[in-house]
Amino acid sequence: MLALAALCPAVAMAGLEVAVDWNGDGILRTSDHGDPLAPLDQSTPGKPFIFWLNTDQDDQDYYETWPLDRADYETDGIDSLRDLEDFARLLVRLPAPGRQPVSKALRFTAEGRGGEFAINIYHAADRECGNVHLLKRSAGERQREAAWDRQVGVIRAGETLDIPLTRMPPSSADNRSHCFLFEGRHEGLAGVRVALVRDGAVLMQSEPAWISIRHVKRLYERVVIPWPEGRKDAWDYEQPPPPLELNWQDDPQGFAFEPPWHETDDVIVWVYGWLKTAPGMYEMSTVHSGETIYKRLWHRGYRGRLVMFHWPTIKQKITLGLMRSEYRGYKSGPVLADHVHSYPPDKRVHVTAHSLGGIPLAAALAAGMEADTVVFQASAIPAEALDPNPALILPGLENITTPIAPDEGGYHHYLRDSRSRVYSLYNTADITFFGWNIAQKQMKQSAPWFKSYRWDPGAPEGERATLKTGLFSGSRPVTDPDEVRAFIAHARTHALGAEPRVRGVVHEAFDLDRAPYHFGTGHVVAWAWNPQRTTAFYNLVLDLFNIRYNSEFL
Amino acid sequence: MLVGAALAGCVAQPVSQTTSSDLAAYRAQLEVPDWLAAMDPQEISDLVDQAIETPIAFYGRVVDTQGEPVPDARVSFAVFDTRLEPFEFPYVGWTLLPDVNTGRDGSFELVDVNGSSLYVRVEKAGWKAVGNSKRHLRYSVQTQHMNRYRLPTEAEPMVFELTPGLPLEDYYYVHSGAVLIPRDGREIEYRLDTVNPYGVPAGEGDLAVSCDKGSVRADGRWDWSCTIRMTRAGGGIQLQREIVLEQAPEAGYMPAIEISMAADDPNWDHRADRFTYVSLREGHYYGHLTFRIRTDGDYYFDIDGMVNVTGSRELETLYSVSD
Repeated sequence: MLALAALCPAVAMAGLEVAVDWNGDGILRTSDHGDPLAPLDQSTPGKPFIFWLNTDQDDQDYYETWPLDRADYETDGIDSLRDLEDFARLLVRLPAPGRQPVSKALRFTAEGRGGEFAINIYHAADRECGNVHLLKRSAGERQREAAWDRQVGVIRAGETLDIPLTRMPPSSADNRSHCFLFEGRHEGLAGVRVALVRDGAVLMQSEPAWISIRHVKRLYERVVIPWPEGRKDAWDYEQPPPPLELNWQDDPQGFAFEPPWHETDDVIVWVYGWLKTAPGMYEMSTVHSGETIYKRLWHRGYRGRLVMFHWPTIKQKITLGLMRSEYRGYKSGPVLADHVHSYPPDKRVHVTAHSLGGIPLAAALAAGMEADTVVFQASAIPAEALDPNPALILPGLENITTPIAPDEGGYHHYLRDSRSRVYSLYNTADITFFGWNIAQKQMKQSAPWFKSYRWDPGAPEGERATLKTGLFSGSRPVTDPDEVRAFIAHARTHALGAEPRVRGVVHEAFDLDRAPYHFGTGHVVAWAWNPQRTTAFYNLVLDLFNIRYNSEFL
Repeated sequence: MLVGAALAGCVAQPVSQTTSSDLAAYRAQLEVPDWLAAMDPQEISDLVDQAIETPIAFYGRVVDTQGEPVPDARVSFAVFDTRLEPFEFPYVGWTLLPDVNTGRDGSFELVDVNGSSLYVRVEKAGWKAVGNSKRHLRYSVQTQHMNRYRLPTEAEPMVFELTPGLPLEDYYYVHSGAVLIPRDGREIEYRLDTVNPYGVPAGEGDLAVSCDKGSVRADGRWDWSCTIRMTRAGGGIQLQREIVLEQAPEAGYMPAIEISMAADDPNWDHRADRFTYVSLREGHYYGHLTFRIRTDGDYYFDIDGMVNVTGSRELETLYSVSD
């Protein structure tokens, strides 16, 4: 192919074009297709269109299969509405009528420049090559109808794929665009060309669209705070626990992060919530939520960095795990702040946390974290921690016996100010807060093996919080406010994520149960639901971070 | 049993109440009346405390244009029952009550609640309002004189009229996405019936947006000002004073509006959302558009809304049609 292009440069200039959405603006732009004011999608070997391998298993109507039986790219079909987010668009633009030679087939070739490079291609149901399969359920379902749900073939480095024109579906309204979807099958870089052929002879050939396929784990960053081996739970110390040293570290999971050439100055640090503690659960959440979030932001046009930030949450015995995780969350806050501060000053770092991830996020802000913008999502931290407004305190809870002042371990006004703008995304219908409320009421001050925490407001300062360390043993003072907050303090308000009225350090609050989000009772719908239902949510997140996003119609 | 006891003693499922963003939007459409501004703060405080305890009983009926009952229409209520803390204008917040549906005879009611006023909204998928489907009724003695409607009774319920909604071909929705604004103050023209994130050539847009941004001060603020200019002959725009819209006003449109923020403004923000009505195409098309202006980070505007292309001023709420 190279030789042909070199010998016959005029052939390659004859108006046959292939395009991918190289710049992420949602528009497939060739010399005479797409918004005329939009820049051309002009990939090069050094600046290719980057997409991911379709390695997950999206074969369910809701969420994904785990553990994986196989990778989606191994199947001959689009496995679900969710699987569609693992496809990118490819446009073949034919020359104007009168300039088209009489041909019998479209031929795809891939000029490899590293790796095995392979993509599976499908005809797109949308004749205008839009993104509509990711925006509307009906369009996604249409793409999964028999006519469109079969793989046309595989484009591999060094090989050709011929598609007889008799097998091509109708093209666009102007009879010049053929639209395809493709998924990554093998990593690698290649220049994908299309040619019109007849009887094996190339009559006309396009310039290449340079495409790089990478494992999705190479495209976003993972950071973890390991819990020190041998470190016991706070209640297992008969004396005040020794100082705890936590640090963050990269978590490549076998795929080191490779910043793409198009990375902008924006960094979104996404803090996980409460995770079940079991072998493989963290890895599962990396795929189910981390990678899904990356993909959805990417499809909205985001080209900055995504960092999935995992703190040492623990979830074994349900409610005690919540308190233990709270403790670890408070201890993780300064480490999160340290991570955020590790970026160069020219980066705009935005931080968002989901659910119990609100604890380390609040603790990071309390530790002086400076980020561009901070978003609490369905946050499982008491609203009074961010807003001292007495009107938030629930009837009957005004005078309960619990620490109040934050320096004694109370929640009240824990976060007095913030160096970052703070938003809250709440949902009063979110079913999760039902359990959170019970844990706040019933489980605080409990500990296993006849141990228990106690709060005595009448005791001298420094002795009000105690831990009874066993049935026949004594007790020790609890002097660490984080330990008091996690194991002793009761919330007197709704959780931030269930409280519409909160102000204080919160600049603005948004209701995720209202149009256009309609989260209902769901807690993790941003990555559990199919992509066709979450577009508005991801646009909201980007908008709060002052990052441009594509139209919900594009 | 444990669960029940826990919830009874702790936290029941919350109801949705005034949000900070709601309040900001609500404030934006209110002006402080002279008489209120002249009142003593303690007097206002006492007034509010009394007003939000006023008993409310509301009776309504939904019918079509023939007077036939419309069952299964959805009715939303917001009762102004909360004293705002901190205590500042408009002093009273609200609670969104669970929606109810009309019965087979089109009727519905709300009783046994207290509040200073009640906001009622009626809607049904595929139907549109004839007249106003949103009514704000003041129940407190001090404000009843401001009512535009007579307070309903069980014998004389308030009537809401609906009729089958706009056919799809009568309107289009607008979702521009984020459209980058030139940083040098130039206008970018935007056409509403297509998605054109880079705008359209001069002379082809329905409106043009331009912004000026001052330099960043030591306190991190800057002056900024954006102009939205309607480019079609006879086109116009006006800021709207209703949060939810069903009918565009007939008059009052301006060729352009300015959205600006002075760095010294105590309510300064680098972002602003504005609700507008627009008239297009020689003033024959009407629509409602929400403009979002962002002047930090990426510098862009976003437009959401709908345009009725029949010449009628009837509008529908965005996202009322879902897929």
